Amino acid sequence: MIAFLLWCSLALAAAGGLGVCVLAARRTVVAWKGRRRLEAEGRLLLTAIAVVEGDAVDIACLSEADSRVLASQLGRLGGSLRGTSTERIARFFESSGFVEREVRALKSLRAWRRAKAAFALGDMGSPDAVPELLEALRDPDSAVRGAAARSLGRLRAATAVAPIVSPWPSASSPFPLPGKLY
Amino acid sequence: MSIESGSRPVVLVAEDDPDILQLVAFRLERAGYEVIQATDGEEALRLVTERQPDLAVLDVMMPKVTGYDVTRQIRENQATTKIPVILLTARVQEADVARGFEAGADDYIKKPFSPQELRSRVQAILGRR
Repeated sequence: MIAFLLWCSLALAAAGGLGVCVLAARRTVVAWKGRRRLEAEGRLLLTAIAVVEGDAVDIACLSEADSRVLASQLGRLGGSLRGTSTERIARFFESSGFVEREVRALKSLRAWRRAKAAFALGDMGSPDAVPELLEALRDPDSAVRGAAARSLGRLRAATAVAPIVSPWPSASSPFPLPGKLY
Repeated sequence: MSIESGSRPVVLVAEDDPDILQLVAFRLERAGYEVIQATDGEEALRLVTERQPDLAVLDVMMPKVTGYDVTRQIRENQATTKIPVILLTARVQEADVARGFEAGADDYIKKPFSPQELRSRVQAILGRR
C-alpha cells in the first residue's frame, strides 16, 4: 500500500514537473514570436510608409511571415488615415493578392479563419470585397457575421445598411434591431 | 512644394503611436521640413523649450501630458507662445474641438486624417509667417 502511494506521488510530481516545463516552453516560444514580430514591424515600417506614399514597393522578396506583418501594419495605418492614402493601401492589397486570399478564406471550413478574413478585409479598405462580406452577414457563425458587419462599416458600404438593420431570419442574430430602415 | 535645405523650418511632431509618428515625420521631411519627434507630452514640452520649433503637431491623447496641456503650456511660456500648434486627434466631438482651440491651438485635424492635408495645413500656417 505504501509502495503504491509512493508511486502515485512520484507520478503526480513527474506530471506536475512536465506541465511546468511545457508552460515554460510555450511562454518562451510566445515571447520569441513577439520579439520577432516587433523586429519585423520595425524593419517593414518604411515599406508600409512607402505604400501609403504611393512609392513603388516590391513584395516578391518578402517572406510569407513578413508579408503578413506588412499587411497587418498597413491595416492598422489605414484605420487612422483617409483620402488618397487609404486608396493606395486598398490598391496595394488588391494588386498583391491579399484581398483575393482573404476572400477565399471566407469559404474556409473553420469559423475562426472565416472571422479573421472578414475582419482583415475591412482593414484592407478594398470595395472589391463588399459582395463577399455581404454574403458573410449570413454566415452561421456569429463571430463571422459580426466581423463582416464591422468591415462593411469600415468600408462605408451603403449597400450593407439594409441587410444589417433588416429583420434577421435567425433567432441567434447579432443584430437584433427590429423593423425596417424607415 | 519643397523647401531649400539650409533654411529648413523645424516641425515638432508628438504622437504616441509609433507608426503614425513615423508616417507624419516621413511625409513632412519629404516636404522639406526638419522634423523632431516626441512620443509623449512631457518629451514634447522639453523639445519645444529646447529647440523652439517653427510649428508643433500634437496628438491629443498622449501619455504623461495631454496635447491640450502641452498647447496650454506652450501658450503660457513667453519664449514659446508664438509657436503655431496643430492638434491631431481621434476626438471629434464639438466640445473636444472647442477645448483644443480654447487651449490655444491654431488648427485641429481629426483622425482618420489625410497626410496630404496635414502637409498642406503645415505649409499654409508656415507660409503665413
